[in-house]
Amino acid sequence: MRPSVLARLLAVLAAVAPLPAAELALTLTDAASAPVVDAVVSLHPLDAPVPAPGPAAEVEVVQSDGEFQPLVTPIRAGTRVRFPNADSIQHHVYSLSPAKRFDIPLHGGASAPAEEFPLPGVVSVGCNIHDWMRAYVVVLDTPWFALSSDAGLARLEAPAGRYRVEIWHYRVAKPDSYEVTLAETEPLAATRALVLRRNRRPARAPESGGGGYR
Amino acid sequence: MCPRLTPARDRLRRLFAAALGALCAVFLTPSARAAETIPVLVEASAHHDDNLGRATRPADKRGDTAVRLGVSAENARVLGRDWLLSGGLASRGEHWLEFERFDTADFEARLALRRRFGLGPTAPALRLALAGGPRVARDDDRSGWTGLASLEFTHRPWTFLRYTFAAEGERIDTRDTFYDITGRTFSGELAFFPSDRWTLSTGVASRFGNVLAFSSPPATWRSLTPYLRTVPWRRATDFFDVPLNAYNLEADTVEGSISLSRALNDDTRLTLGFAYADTRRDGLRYLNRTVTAGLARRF
Repeated sequence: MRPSVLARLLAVLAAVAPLPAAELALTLTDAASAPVVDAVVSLHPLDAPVPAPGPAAEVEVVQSDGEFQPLVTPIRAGTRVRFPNADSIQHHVYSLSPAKRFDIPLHGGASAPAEEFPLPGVVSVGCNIHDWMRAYVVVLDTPWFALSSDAGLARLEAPAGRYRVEIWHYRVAKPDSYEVTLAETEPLAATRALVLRRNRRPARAPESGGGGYR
Repeated sequence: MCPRLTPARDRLRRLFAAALGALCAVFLTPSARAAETIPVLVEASAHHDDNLGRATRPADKRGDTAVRLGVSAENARVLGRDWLLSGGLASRGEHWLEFERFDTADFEARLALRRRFGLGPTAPALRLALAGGPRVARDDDRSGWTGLASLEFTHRPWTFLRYTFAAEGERIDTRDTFYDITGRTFSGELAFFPSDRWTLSTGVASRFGNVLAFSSPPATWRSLTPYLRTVPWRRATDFFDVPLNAYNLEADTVEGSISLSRALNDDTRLTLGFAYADTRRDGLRYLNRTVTAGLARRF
């Protein structure tokens, strides 16, 4: 028996219509219950395919006052990142991370071309002149991600369903991961404690005796 | 007394002129004219030496504390993927609280070429540095020119550990050649960074070269050690509260040092250090213990 036109229409609508959104509100703390800022929380669906990415977006990581702004930039794979130099001094931006290796030498002004980040992974970005400068581009293969705020809160919206939650922070030894089921009825609020390592980035403070460019 | 232009002094002046010329090239390139901000580093420290005159006899030993103030500005130019040229100007004053005749003020041009074998702070690096400039001393005979050349290998295999080996040659060419100093130093340093705020450093250095040592005038010629009898340079001085003879002699010095520093913020660092130096030559032995407390602030 052939399905009716109405039944076929309903099936098509069910396939293309967005699923009802569910919400995850995750508060991240460290061992001392202090909020963890700049953690990346992402949702990876377990029972459904990841939606295809849209047109390639472009974001900026600016060098300003001898620092990268922002410190952490989560992006979808395929996004292009520009590294404009807003300082009046030279910077030499580079990455040695397997997910994206590049270096932009003699970088002054905003003339450097954007770099594409096609592979998922954490890309640690530095400046070869100013060793204390650090930035992290977190490349994700999911559209559902968020950065934790000053209060340690990451709020995500995604279709209802089962997900693997991944939490990355530049001071955790290994990303935290667990499963969660999101329902459309009410937001899921949770608190997660992370074990942070010591921050060992090279210090910006000057060493005595000058000779800062070692 | 008019300064005597010795060949060594002439060489130092040429070195200084060349370094200054290169510095001008560094700072006056087109990008520098685009309102480039050059950070200025100000350092203030107190430094105590328990044997300022390198005396051997306890009765001749004089300890004193100096206050030091230094200002320096340094900038860098990327010459290529692995090459960095840095240069700057520095001035430093040193005032001894009790024995003011040792006061000095140095003005210095610095130039350094760094070659990194890779990218980032964990890449090994070689650094060739030159520094030189005039010295003004409260005792005019000790005024003159200073010159320093060093080659340094630095490696930070992990972010929490850095080691450095260095070879350094120094020359102080004074108005009265009695106070001329030549020395070469080989040193190693290990720095531990338990966090991005704290640094614990320890180092050893071996130096061979001229040192100035002071002692009471000998009662008789025979009372001098056999080596001092051969030293052509000796002079009666009034640097201290009692008349002491100064000797300019060549000696070996081994120094061990340790320092602890804490970054108070991104631009300020506080450092406490201790050093122990043992200088020897043919039966003579001079011991120096120095303690330093310093604050460095970048503007």
